[in-house]
Amino acid sequence: MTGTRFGARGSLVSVHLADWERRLLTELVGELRSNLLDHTPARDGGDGLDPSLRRLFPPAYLADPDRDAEYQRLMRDELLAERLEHLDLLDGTLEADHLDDAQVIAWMQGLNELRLVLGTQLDISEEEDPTDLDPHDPAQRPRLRYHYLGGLLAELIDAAHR
Amino acid sequence: MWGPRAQAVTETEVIRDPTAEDDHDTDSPWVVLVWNDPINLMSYVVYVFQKLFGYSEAKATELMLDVHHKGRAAVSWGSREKAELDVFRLHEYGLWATMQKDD
Repeated sequence: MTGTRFGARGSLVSVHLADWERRLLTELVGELRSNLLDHTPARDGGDGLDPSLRRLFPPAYLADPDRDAEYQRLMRDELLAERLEHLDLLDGTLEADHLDDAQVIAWMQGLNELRLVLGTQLDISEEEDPTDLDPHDPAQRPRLRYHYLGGLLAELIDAAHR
Repeated sequence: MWGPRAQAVTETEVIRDPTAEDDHDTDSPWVVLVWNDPINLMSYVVYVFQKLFGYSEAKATELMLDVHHKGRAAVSWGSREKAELDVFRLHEYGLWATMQKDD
């Protein structure tokens, strides 16, 4: 889990993932895509949304439910479509050696969405401390995955900045 | 916890104000806020601010630190349409963004 899994190569970002990482990401992206398709009621203003997906469809107007309902009615389908599109792009480039700009952004957005959903399920707080994780405890697997994704995303941001 | 409840009072007053009826929203200045959350990485938030709004790394870092320490930061201003577009783009990146009248 250490090392640099992304590198800068001209305008492209090179990818150096182990097979188990590509398999894990394929699994997680597939789960999120199914979850989005099954549990994102369109245009309902947020009620009935699967709780773990709430962070992916936040309110735009905190203090104005009517305007927010209108916003959600107009924008939720589009936001869902965008999310599915970049998850497809991420999924379709999991075997790639290099990523272009659009693919890098899709990876960032996709990895971050996986973290948002996992982090919501785990009720992650500011005090979250990965040093007390036991890698051999199966019950800790979701937290391990959450921190794995954070490390991966941080390396990708670093490579994209270079 | 922070802000939103107090803000509700202000927004309600604005809506009840008859002069607000003609706000038809296009020329009223709106502000887009990004709220602190424990999940988004600091480096990711800086990256998104630079990417979406063209802020320098120093300015984007300053805004990210405001979000982190003060709970929120204002990141863009403009018409209601522009603010809604900015909120949408921030949501696309998974940031917790909202908009309100810039009183």
